[in-house]
Amino acid sequence: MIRASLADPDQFAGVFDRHSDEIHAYASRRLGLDHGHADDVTAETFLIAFRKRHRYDLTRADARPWLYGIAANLIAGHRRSEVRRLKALARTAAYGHELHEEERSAERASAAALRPALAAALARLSSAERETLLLVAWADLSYEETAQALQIPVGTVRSRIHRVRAKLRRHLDLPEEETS
Amino acid sequence: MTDELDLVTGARPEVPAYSPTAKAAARRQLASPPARRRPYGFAIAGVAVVAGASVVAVNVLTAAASGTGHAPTVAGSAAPEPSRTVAALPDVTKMSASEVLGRAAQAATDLKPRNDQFVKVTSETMYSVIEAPTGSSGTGGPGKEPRYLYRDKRTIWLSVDGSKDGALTTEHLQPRPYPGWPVPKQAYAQAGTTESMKLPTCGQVPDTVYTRLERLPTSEKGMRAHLFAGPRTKNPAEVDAWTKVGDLLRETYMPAAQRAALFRAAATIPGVKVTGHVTDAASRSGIGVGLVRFGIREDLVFDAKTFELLGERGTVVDAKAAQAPVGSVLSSTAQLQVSIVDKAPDAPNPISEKQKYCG
Repeated sequence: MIRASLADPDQFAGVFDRHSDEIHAYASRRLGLDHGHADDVTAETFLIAFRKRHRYDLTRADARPWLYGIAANLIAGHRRSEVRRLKALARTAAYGHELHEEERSAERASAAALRPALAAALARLSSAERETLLLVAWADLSYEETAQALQIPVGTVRSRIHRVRAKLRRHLDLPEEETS
Repeated sequence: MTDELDLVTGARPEVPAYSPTAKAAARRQLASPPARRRPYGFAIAGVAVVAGASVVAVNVLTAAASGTGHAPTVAGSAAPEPSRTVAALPDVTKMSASEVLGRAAQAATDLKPRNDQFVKVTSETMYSVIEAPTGSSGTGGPGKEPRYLYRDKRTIWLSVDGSKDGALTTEHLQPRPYPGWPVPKQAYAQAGTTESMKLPTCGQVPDTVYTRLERLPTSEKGMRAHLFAGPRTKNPAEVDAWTKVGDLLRETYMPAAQRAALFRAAATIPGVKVTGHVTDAASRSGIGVGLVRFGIREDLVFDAKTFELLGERGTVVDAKAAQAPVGSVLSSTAQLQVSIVDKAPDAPNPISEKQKYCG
């Protein structure tokens, strides 16, 4: 299937067709649906992938980590907006339902799933930690795939996840327990 | 007890589907050309199958491999009158897809390369480019996104077993207008230039190296299952299967047994039809066999006499879906020569990003 990307522009569309929904869903989870950030990130991800595909083709058996890696870089460019959004979600606890329009739509984007306390905890992670955590938790990448996506050793993924667990436990007031 | 990771996973926000408008806009952009380098990729099987170096030539077809623009074997190449074929030739317009592909299967030859050699493929290609509007945001209306058809002559060297770095030389040819759009000035800038680059393996073996293709099924049934086995997309299954057929043939050399199985299996894909006379990118006349995808009929072009694969061609059949007038040709390729050679030429490694993308 990777051979699709070896092919002409029309053929590369096959890679887009296979993966764009997934990448868009991930970008939406990270950035919400407002301001078109998720749309921009998705479009840009595939444009970059398209331009780099001659290199990619020779190297990878599965396009997903590669595409997520590109998307992750782009999402990092929207870090401030992501954090603002997470903080807005975190405030929903404090303000109940009296939200400003921006916050209200941010909440809608998250479809209520992201609990305020968790949003607050995510906002307090470093962006590298958040990226690593969410590739694993929201994009269903394995540690190996996450390592590929972020161009870091798999050991670094493990240690980041370990650190993130501890932070979350602390921020979410979960009971201390032996780390897995 | 509560696991923090599960907690985060469980809180994964539900998100609505990717809006079709935004998606279509993003998809359209992909016809844009890479900023500098041309895509590594394209091209399809060929007319002249010759063996270089130490291998015996198997099947030298139309004499001049590189587009002299005529196909000596095919009647009607000068006058594209479908019903006027020379008596000795089969009346291709009446042939079914399975007949044409069956003949193509019989025509399959084998160069029997050694693992330490290279498949060298020379081709001419034309693909459409729709550049992103320079204003960045959203979908620019007509007139904002330059469109044209870019043309290249490519020679690629790919390791038979995928163990060695390959190389690609691209000579940029004059662009042609996309139907209804002026060719933007910048499109001419590269024409006449040639670039070469190394294609590093990065320690990975692509699926379409000879030694991998050799492991594919040799029966029609097995190959058909392979064509339909890929990951499911939202496209109709037959569209994906047809795409896979092209992917397996483009700038590759498929062993004869698998190639024959592939053509037979391709004939069983629902919707695959014969178009009659078409030409490839080198103006060689042939028979088109293909499937309609996104308003474009994607044909493989076969020599009408020998049934060797000449190239690929994309012809608009639904103006709305394809966003171009019916009958216009938006992609066209010609595989001019396939040979086996002992070495790939030295070429600059393109890779500042090597460390980045060679894991």
